[in-house]
Amino acid sequence: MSETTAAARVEQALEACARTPAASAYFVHRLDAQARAQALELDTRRTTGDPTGALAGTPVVVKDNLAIAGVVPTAASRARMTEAVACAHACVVGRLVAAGAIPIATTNMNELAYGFTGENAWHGDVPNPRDETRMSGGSSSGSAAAVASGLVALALGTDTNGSVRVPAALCGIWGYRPSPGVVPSEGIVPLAPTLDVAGPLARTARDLMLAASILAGFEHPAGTSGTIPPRVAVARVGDDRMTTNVRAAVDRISRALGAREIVTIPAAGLTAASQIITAVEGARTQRAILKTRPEEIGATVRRRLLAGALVPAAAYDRALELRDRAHREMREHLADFDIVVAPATPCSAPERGAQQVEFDGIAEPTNAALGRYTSPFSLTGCAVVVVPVMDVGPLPVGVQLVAKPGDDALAIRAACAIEDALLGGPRSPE
Amino acid sequence: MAEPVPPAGATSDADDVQRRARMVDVPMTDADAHEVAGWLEGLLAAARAVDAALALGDR
Repeated sequence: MSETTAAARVEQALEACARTPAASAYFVHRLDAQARAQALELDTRRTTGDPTGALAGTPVVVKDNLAIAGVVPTAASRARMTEAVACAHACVVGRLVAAGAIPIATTNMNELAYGFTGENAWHGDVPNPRDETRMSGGSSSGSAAAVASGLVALALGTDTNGSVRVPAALCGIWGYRPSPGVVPSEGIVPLAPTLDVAGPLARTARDLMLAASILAGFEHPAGTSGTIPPRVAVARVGDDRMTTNVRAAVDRISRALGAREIVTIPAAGLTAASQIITAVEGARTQRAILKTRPEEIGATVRRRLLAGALVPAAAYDRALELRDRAHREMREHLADFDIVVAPATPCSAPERGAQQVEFDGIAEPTNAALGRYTSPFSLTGCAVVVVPVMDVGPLPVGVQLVAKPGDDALAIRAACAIEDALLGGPRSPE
Repeated sequence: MAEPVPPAGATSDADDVQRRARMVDVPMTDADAHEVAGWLEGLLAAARAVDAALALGDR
């Protein structure tokens, strides 16, 4: 049992937030009073010998599209600021709180979770703590930034097409997208309900494993080594374009896991299907706002949602048909492997405000580029952990460990094995 | 019940966007329609990519 009280840990975290100028951009709601009250209650339980949980007194932050009792989950949108306060925690928040975690803030994000850039029309952009001239990535931008800057050890985000994995990669931390159904999704402000999942972001793979065990009920082999599964391959996804530092990171992680084979993931159409499903479902979930007060959604997100409202229903149906087929085919592609290794993003963090990124002599829209390697695995329901690689260039890059749907524990244990092999144990990337 | 949907089309200028928007009862400003045209064009291109992938899989 830690001798530091929960109250002291919360005060320490709140003071760190106050000392970090950029932190104001990371948060939507500060929860100082609630956090102090929860800490006092937890310390009281501790003195009376009552159980306090595996995360007892750990300050955490929660993406603003996850319900916290007594707080309006705005998804960082002006359109939701007048919604009712949540009467209960989102299921994932409830599980962390039951384990003793103490939410100290809700975090900034791409509005309504639609985007990979960390930009927000109402709360400002989230700068990357590794280099504030760079994007944090999104949409779980504030969650990733708060963890990467050391303000908290653990955060909750959500991932539709890569919204945990992209900011984890760009900010140099660990992130986990669960297989659908492994972690409950009740209490998420929806973007695309058939793709949305909640997942943790953490400074160490061991913290990620602990959070995953609490959120999903895995066995938590605390204090044990990670496990490298026997059958690991490198994924070649689509056109396989990436910057040299990203390729170096993929090579390093592949070597650490002993990958000997290459598996080709035919991404043709998968990213397109993700775009259509997200746009159409996003327009449906926000339809009432789009019809009555569209000006309360920032221009970029509003226009993307409006475009989604105009997509023919048949196109959505065909995207779902392709998703069903891709699910089957991905299982076949991964049948002979426990883990496949793939880049999380094709490049490190772009400059803030960049509309396009260019590599291999080809320019493409920033948002589309950042999600090109994450969305195919969302669409096909895979479990994915992002591993941060810090020393292949001036900025971190992320590598995905992809497991078949339901094989979440394999991916997380492999991540711990990499932490052991490359960092010598559970140590925060610096 | 299924929502009304506009016909599929290959082009999406601002006028076309406004026509489609009226059909699905989602009003928008001309300024939005102009910008939505570009996003819609991208989504219609994505729809064609999905069709191509499905056709490829059928072969």
